[in-house]
Amino acid sequence: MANLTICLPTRNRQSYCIQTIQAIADCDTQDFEVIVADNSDDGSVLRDFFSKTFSDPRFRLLAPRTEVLSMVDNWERTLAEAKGRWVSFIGDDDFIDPHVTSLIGRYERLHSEVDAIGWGRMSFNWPDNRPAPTLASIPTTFQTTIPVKSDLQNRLYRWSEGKRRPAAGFGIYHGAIKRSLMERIRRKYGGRHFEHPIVDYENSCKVIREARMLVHCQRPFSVLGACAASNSAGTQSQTTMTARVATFKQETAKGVQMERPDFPFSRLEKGASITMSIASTTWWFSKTYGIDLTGFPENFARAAMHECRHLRSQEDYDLTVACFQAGFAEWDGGRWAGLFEPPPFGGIKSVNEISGVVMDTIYLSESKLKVRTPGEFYKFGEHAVAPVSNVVSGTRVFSR
Amino acid sequence: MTVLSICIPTRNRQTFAMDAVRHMLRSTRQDFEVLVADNSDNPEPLRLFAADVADSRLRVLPPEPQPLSMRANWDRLIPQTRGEWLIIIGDDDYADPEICEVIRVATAAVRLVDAIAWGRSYFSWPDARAAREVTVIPTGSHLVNVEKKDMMRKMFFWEEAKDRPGCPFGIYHGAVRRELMERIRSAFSNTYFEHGNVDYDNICKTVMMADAFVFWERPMSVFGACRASNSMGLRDQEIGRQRNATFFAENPDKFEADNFPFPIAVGVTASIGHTIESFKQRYGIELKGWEENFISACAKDCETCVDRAQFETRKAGYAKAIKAWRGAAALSRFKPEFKWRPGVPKFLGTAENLLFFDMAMGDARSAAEFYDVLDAMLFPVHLLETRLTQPLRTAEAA
Repeated sequence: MANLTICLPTRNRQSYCIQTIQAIADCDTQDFEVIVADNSDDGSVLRDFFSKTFSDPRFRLLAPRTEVLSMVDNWERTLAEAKGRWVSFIGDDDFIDPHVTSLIGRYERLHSEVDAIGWGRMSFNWPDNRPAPTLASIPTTFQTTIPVKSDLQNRLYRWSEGKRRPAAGFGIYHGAIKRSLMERIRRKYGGRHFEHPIVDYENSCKVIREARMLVHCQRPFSVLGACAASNSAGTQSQTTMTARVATFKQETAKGVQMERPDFPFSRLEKGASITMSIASTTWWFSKTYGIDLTGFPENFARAAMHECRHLRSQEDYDLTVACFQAGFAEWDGGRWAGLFEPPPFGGIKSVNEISGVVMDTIYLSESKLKVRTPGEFYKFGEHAVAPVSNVVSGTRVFSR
Repeated sequence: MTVLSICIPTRNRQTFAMDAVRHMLRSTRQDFEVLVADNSDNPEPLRLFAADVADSRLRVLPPEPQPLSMRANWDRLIPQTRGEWLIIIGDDDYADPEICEVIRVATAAVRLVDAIAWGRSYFSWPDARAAREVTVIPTGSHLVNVEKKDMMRKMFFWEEAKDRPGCPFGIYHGAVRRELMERIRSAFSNTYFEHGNVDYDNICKTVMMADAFVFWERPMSVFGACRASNSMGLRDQEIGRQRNATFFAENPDKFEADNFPFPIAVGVTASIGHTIESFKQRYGIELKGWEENFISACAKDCETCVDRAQFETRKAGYAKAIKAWRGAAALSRFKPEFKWRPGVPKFLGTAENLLFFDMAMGDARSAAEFYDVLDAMLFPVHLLETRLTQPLRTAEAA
């Protein structure tokens, strides 16, 4: 039985997906499998790739269904096919190093209870997703931490840090979850592994509530990629974000709805931000499953202001602020509206131009990089982080 | 106006020089020039290269009828330069024309500045790399106002020296005003460079003569080492012997200082020691209290050895010289330890404002390509001015 199942759901981005498959297949490790769940309108591209060009017994292709699935349903059917003891999901424009199986093995030997493993992630924008200056990132530390669950829950459910993205750190997306934990989640949460359209954050909510033991390795083992066609490309431009939100809602019309009358931010499209989408997810989970949300409104207001400080243009700023204001005005009868006081737009900023090393992470100007894909970027970045063999053997002494 | 002349003296390593020049000329800047002083046996490769490039920013000084000493080849460069500021690099090195921007910001911040230096970065060309090699670069981006007295202490008293004095100011991998070079020439025997160890000879003079020093923590150039370089001699005893023999055959000027019984071949600390002593002796500079620091640097030079036999040879060579120089009692300060631990993995990552990484990162095939990798992950030069919202830091604060 494979130790790890890497799930690769994809929709209409076959060329990225093929490059991701090839990058993962380069790895000589054998104790993993990859399930490519094709949800594309045209199934022939990946079918032909698997039948004519590519041959690797570690990889399986799930053909598209007759009807297009929502993302959450495509994830659900992928996990049902997984045979590995551990499961991980990545996007079709991302990368994961299958050597992460040896990290999983080490943590299992050290901590028999462990059922959720997180790791550092590099980030990389594909060359077609750089309308403005962009930065790739490489975390360079490699320590292991075992966080306290209540801290994680405070950060994710109640947004205690007040940042534009709550730090989840654990989840099946760019993390590894023991399949037995996913089965427990399925039994406890409506008979499904995944319910909410924002599947990654939804899963993080469930994992940090249900996991027996969570272990995190700072060393990166995967790359969060963003191509021009990705949802994350919305972070580069408000126009792209609006279009992505509209498409996303259309494709996830069935099942759990993002739009909730008790959290009206998610109903808005113009000026929508990823901060709102994540908040609508953690709000939905917390409300649905009875999580205490004391402090969330205040923290979310801080997060909203934090998001506004990161906007690049006056136009984006105006749209996003108006969107937040409309949401706060409607939410809970306007009870929290006074907390949202974004600072004025700070002028055109050199956002994503400051490459360099900050807090042990290298930020790289992507326009100056020669690497073209997340897989290539991972190999590039590995030159500045501790080798997997040292991390897995628990090496503590290094020479300088 | 030409702000900067990047000077590249070269001898029989034309392809290395051409690679550096080709990369420099990618720049759209028009305020720098590249001046190559060709001292090769065959003038054709660089002549044809310059004709092919046909860029007014590039000039090549053809070889003289007879090969020049390194010192003479450096010396003939300076009068030919047009830039207000000058830098010299080796033909297997690289320097970013964006140094012009650093000069602009530094001179705006410190009007009298005439010597600018930056963080060091080192690259072994693939032909000089036997196995995986880890290099280290500083990750800071502060512009620092450096006190002259501190540089005097570092250079002439060997304060905080490793195997060599920690003073980065000089024309080699640093920018100095042309006017400073003229003052140096007129103050010191009517020549720009006197000693065969041209880089350290110039550091001595720059430290003595410059009015103000500014240091940017971010690397702007790369010290390259190809298989044919003199630096390779520091790694391999046999290569070192060959390089020394060639060097002294081609550089007949007196190299050794008087009453300084350190064989040049014993190590880089001895070689630099001779350069500094020669300068002091020639110009009647007498200092006391630097000897102990110098002996410590000799020990550190031994500790750079990754081969036990080489370590023992070097240690014995220095011990003999120290005893002859200052007596057996001086050996109490000389206690090198063989620190190389081949079984201990090399550290990769960030620590103490440094980034340690595998030199193969980005698969750089030349010093210029290596600089491209650095440039992607270091503070952007065009934003240097934004670092000046506060007064320039002093060296102590940095």
